[in-house]
Amino acid sequence: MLFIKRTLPLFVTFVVGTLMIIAFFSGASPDSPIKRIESTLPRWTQIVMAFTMVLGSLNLVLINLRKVNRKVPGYGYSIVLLVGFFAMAIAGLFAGSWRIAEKNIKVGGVYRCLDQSGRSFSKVMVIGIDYLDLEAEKAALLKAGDPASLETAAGLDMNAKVVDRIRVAYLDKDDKVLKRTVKDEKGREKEVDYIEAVTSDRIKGICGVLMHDSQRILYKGVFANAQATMFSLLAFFVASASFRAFRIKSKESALLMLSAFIVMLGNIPLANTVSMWLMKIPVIGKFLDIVTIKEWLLAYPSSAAQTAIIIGATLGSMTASLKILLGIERSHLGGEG
Amino acid sequence: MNVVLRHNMRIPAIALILAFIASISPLMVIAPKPVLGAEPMLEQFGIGEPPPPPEGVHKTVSKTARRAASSVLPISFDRIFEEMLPDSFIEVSAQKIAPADVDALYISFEQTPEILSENIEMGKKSMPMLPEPVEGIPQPKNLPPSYTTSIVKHSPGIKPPPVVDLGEGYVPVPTPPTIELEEEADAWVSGAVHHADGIYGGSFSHSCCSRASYVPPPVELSNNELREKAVVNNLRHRPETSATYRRYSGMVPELPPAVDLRQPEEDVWAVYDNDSVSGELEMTAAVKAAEMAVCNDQGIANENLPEFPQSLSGTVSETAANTVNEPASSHVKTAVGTAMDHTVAASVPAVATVAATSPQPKPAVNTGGTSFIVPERVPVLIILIVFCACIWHAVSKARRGEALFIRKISGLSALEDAVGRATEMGRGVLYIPGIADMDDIQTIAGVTIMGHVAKTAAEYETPFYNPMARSFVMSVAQEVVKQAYLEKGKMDAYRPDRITYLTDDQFGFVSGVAGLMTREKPAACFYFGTFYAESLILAETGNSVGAIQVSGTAEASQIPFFVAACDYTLIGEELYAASAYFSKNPREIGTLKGQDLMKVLIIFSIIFATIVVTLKEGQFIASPGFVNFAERFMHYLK
Repeated sequence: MLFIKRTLPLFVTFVVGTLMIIAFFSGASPDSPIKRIESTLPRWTQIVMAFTMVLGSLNLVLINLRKVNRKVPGYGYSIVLLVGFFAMAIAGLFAGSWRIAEKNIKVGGVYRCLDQSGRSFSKVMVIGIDYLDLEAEKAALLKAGDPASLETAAGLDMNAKVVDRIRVAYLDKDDKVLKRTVKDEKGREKEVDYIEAVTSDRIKGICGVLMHDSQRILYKGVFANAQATMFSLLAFFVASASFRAFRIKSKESALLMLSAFIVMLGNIPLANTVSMWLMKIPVIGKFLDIVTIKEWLLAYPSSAAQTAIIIGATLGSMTASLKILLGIERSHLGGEG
Repeated sequence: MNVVLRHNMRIPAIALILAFIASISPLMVIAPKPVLGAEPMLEQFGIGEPPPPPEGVHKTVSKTARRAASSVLPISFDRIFEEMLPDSFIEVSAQKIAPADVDALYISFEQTPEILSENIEMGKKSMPMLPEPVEGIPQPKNLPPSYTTSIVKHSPGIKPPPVVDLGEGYVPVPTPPTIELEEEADAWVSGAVHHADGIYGGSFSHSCCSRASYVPPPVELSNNELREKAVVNNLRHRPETSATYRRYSGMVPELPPAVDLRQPEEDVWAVYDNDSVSGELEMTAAVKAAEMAVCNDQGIANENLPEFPQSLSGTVSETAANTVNEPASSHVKTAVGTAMDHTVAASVPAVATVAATSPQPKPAVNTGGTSFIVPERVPVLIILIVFCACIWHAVSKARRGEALFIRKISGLSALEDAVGRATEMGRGVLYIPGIADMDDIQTIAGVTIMGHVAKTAAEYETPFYNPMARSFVMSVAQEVVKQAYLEKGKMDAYRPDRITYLTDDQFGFVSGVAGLMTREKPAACFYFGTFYAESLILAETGNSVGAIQVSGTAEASQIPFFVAACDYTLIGEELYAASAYFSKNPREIGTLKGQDLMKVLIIFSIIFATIVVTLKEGQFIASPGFVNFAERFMHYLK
């Protein structure tokens, strides 16, 4: 058990880490095994992380179901969470995929057609279906000649009928075909039927419309706004944190307050007026341009401090990586480092 | 309101009401609209009237067109459509029959008048003048500051263009190789071309509409009719694209063959864009500058754009792309687009067209072919070896039993006190190891510190809350905390349901944690790991519930927020030092010391580089050997 929990992860970490370092510096051609490893391994990480999403979702649902079941204080929040979780998941899963099978789309049938922006539906009647010319498609694939195209060409079922586009006529609420005005070659306006060729995935039935609208209402109407609200709160928090941080309690905090004041003032148009007033002070007035001082503060002291922090952090991160690679640091596996 | 709501509830209540109003407002938008509400906009473009497609023409495989388009464009079509396009735009056409083989791609970008005017205003405001007007070159008022382009006066013909030095900020263009007549002629992509995408970079593509379709391959060259079925000519003959093109791109109905563009009396401005956003679209365009201020009598003209704002119609240049590096026989992928041209006329922006050839994408880093090591990475390797040597030296000293001093880190020393305080108050401890995944080294550092905090919490039997933004981190954290409780012999106090995954969404996670804080009122909050905009929201919420807070991150932009709102903050490298600090393990302390040694080397390098650069730039030492050394030193240092 200890082997699986400790030794094996350490061994894998060391081998993979060493390989990646070698691949990083190696000048081998992109087709060489070492370079392939370099490009492939990050994808493994993505795959593993995708599976952990299932784990996380299960954890979230189970914990909240348990809270509701036990009626622990505040279990109402768990109910809201579970309802939101399932509503969003169902609407999201079906909004894009709930489509009518192509074979079930009949000429003369009335459906809803999703507009190009994916926001609203229009009532349409199918007036014709165009099929792909598989012979031409196969010829193109064979001419392309690459392995993927050849494989696709070999797999083409030439007897199948593949829908390319569906021609629809737009209807009004009384099921009459809508008209639109176009200009002919001589510039004269004339009215013609509103007909369009669309892809089959834009044709929806009533369930598809419902799912699509539900998803949009939940996402755009609730989620996006809630997200924006949280982000907006940042403005208030910045104000309250600044208020506390800029209280003058010592010489250092007085310096901080002064610097912050100059930077804040330098960012607003009033700085120019203030600078003009300060210019009237004899001798030192010409050095008191607020915007210049602000620029100097940001470009030199602030930038230098940030660079120092970044250098330190980078070295720290390199050290930590080496420690993990060599198995010196193993706290993240549980237990002592 | 005062009666109903307590004072500290007013702001949340107002925020809730505003959120509710904002939430229901889109419902009106989402409600089904009249059929094709976008039609007026489409008509304005002259492209909103797709004629009923004739029978039998819809045979193109649109996926192929999209794939081809994506390989040329900096961003994929899907992304354009999902994120960037206003709903009133045209669809990717890809409707016409292509010949069996596809060797060129046509993409046009069309902008709404609103976007166009907005961009023009933006361009006017943000783009500086050239240092000095160059004779014969229209003053490009609107080049953005970061746009390092060279404008070269290019006399068309076989002669290579002379380079005009435009002064600081404009990189001289290397002289294109002289090529044979036929090659050059073949390389001219017949079409209206401009460098607008170079000016706008990604934003141009992002804010514009796209359309892709197939273009037949060029036919055999002849004396005067080169590529007669090449990109633009073919497009021009298509009913639905020609109208758009004539109106918007300034394309002339009968574009002269490429060879005509090389007549000596017609000047051509060659514009080389090296500032491609994605690195894939390298645009090499030559702009015919003749008659720039006058609309082409066959092409775009004000009278052809009745619905187009007069102020935007502007001038149009007749242009062509020159793919000098493309072999004559190669199949050239071509992107053609429309955009404003801010450089052809100083005051009147024009609508121009972009045609860009996309050579084979270059690898991001020169791998040096099959060499043993990538030459560009040799300095990195040297630094890594030196760094390892420093660590090895320090670890050896530590293992020999030499005492190595570690300064006191207040933030780490305060951890135990904070947990103790929470225990005394009978409240819990909240710990967040950042919002990044386990592949982030800061998260690993955060999880390491979490183990130590968990041990203290286990010892005192203090409730230990761990909301997580990543499910992978959650499973690791569960293991680490469980081990901590096990080591302290307090497995009965271990509660896995307190180590819970919330959501990957940044602000969703923040609101979840804020809710937890408000309900559970932890007496100590710890934030160690990668944080972004949520740092201040978390820290301020923790402050509002009266918790003692300790934070640590290596994100330089978030450190000020933590410093302002938390009681203790680990700055940068201190975050990674926690493990050695707690364990006192000689090997770990040795690595810290090795890191310090490396820092000393870096400090000396900085001082040395400062002296060297000062001597060079101040010309205190002007010997070529020293200048060469200084330049090479700085090059490697960078």
